[in-house]
Amino acid sequence: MSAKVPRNFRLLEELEKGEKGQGSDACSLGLDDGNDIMMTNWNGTILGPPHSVHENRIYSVKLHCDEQYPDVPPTVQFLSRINLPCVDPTKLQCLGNWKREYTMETVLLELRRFMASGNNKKLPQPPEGSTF
Amino acid sequence: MALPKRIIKETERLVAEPVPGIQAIPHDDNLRYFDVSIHGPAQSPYEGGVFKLELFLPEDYPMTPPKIRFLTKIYHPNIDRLGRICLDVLKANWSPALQIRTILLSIQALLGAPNPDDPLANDVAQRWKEDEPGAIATAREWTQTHAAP
Amino acid sequence: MVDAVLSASVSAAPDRHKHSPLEVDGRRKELDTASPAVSSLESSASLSKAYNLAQQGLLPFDNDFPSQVDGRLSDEMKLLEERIMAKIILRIRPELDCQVCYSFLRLPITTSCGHTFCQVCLKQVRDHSNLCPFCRRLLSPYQAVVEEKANRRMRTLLSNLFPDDVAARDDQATEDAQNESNHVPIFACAITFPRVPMFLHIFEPRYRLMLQKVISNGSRSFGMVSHRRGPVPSVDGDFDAPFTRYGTMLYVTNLQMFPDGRSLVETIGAYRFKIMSYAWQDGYPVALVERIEDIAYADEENMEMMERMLDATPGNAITLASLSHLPTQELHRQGLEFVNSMRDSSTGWFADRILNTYGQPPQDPAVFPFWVATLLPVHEREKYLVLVSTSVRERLKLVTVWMRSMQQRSWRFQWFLYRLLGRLPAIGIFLVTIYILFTNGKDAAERQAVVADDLSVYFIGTIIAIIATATVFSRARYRT
Repeated sequence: MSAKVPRNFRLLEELEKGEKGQGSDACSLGLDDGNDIMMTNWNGTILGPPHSVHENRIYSVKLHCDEQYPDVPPTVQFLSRINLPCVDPTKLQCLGNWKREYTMETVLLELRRFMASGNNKKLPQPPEGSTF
Repeated sequence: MALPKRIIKETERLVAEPVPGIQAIPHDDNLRYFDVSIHGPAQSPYEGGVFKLELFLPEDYPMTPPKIRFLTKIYHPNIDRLGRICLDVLKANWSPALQIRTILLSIQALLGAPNPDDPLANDVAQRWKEDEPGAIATAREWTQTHAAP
Repeated sequence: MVDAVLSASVSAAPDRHKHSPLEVDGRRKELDTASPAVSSLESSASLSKAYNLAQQGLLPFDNDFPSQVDGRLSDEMKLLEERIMAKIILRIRPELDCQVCYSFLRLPITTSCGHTFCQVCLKQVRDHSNLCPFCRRLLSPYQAVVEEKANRRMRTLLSNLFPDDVAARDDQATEDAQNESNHVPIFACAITFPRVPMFLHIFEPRYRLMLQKVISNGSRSFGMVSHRRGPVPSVDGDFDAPFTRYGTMLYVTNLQMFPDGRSLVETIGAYRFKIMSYAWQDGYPVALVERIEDIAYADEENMEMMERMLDATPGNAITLASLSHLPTQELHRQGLEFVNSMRDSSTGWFADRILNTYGQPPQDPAVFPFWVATLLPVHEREKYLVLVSTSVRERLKLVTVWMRSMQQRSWRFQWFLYRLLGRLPAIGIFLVTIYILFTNGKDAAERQAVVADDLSVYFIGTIIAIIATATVFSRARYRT
């Protein structure tokens, strides 16, 4: 088996990718508390996908990486109000097939893809800028 | 793939001939991941503190340097709030002839000789330059608060 | 102390040369009586005594001293000598570990700055940096490091002093090489196909190492897979690596290495494989692979027969099902025809320059789809279906669908342009009328004076514009 990157170094990699601007343009990520040595809580934003009701909107989410990350997925919570099948005000339930190689960016991009798919791109949305 | 012979040998030697004031123990479930502790060097503001660090040997070690950071909070111009260390041998000046032992010694030496001209924590470096006695006092204070053995 | 020794040796040196070989025995006797150290020579170990004498400058260097003593060694002395030798060996053994791999030096190379490393280790270092790991002085250029011969004197010393270590290290290296030959190095880059050439520029250190290994072990082969984007393709099953499960074995046909270690590699696809398991090594994956082959010819024939029996009425939609009524041979023939027609209309994908590189369209129906898939601008997801298909007929159907949709698209485009061109004069006249009406209505009195002038200028302008547009579009027609 290849070298298994431990949680903290994995999170540092993800942080540095953002700091160096190597991440995707469609989303962004940052530590909630720059002093948190355990890097548990993160803030993310997703730029709404084009050709959908989400176009030009920016959604804020909170991500929580516990001790077992990346063996288990982060928990994700939308801060901006959004009408999406898997989002209820408290939790997100679409992170079924989690793999260790996935990152928080994977989660954000996957959410974005989900917003743009099928019916979701047409769902009526709460007013822009409202929060849960 | 099996663990490279070099890593096995380094680990054996770290255990067999430990460096005074430095300890590195690999995790049972990940032999490339080490729990490290370093004693603050004498005559430095970190004297008397025991600092915890974590170290990881990436896939292409020793061609690339080990990844290492402080887990104990420390007030030092070359160490940032997340414990990341600014040290040339951990970056561009890495050489495969260096090893875990020498890197840990370099870090210990860095505690003894902070270098505010090549800062990672800008606020700390600024203070170090403008008010060195004050900065040293804070470093000492932090050592007592966060790095008590 | 050092001074005393030095002066002693200097003072001893001139006398030594005064003695002829015949007198040596006489001198020895002189020495024996002169020095108590020498008198005890025979009751102690010759090595340590010789050392002492040499230190005092009393050892006659031109004397074949050791061989004389050799014959008279007692068992006790032999034992002592062995012990001293063992001590020396023990002391120098750690000095002979490579500072990169921490193992006994194998095929040692000494750098221009005087540091010695295993050949393999130094090459690997050179891939990452141009500085000596030990002293950070500049190393020789990559090419020189790669071609450098092992330090012969060092090798002889090693194999004389440490024959067991040398043998053990060689065994280990052979074993490693064998393990590696069961495991194929994998290069995740792009989708490639058997029998089709592929050109690579290799610059990343890990892939440079990989390339160097496959060249030096003589296999000249590595597996090429594609990066996985999006979800795992269904054919990959539960394979969740960041690359695809199926790939093509590439054979290096030509290699051009630059002095800085980069290289241009020409390869040709050998066969397709499926990854059974993989691990990471030196930064790239190595995998246990299973070769995949097409189904038997008889099965192909059965499939063709069944499909043609079940033949659905061919509809307008271009789907796989709409092609089932066609014989396999016909699919291939149509494919070749398509390539020719595209070539005649000088389509970019089949320009002569490209055909010179990738060869003429293959007459072998099994390979033809691979060739098409390499050249046509189709989504990788689609190409992957061609790669994993084990039926010639299925592959031909897949590429026929692409080619027909392209043809349809290009035909529709041409038709649209044709219609547009036909109407251009009408559109032009319409616009001019609007213009006149507009300007006249707006400010008739003022306009009246200059309108004749204006109109003529406008007409000429419009005609030129129409001609220009028509020329552009008719050119575009040829290009599509």
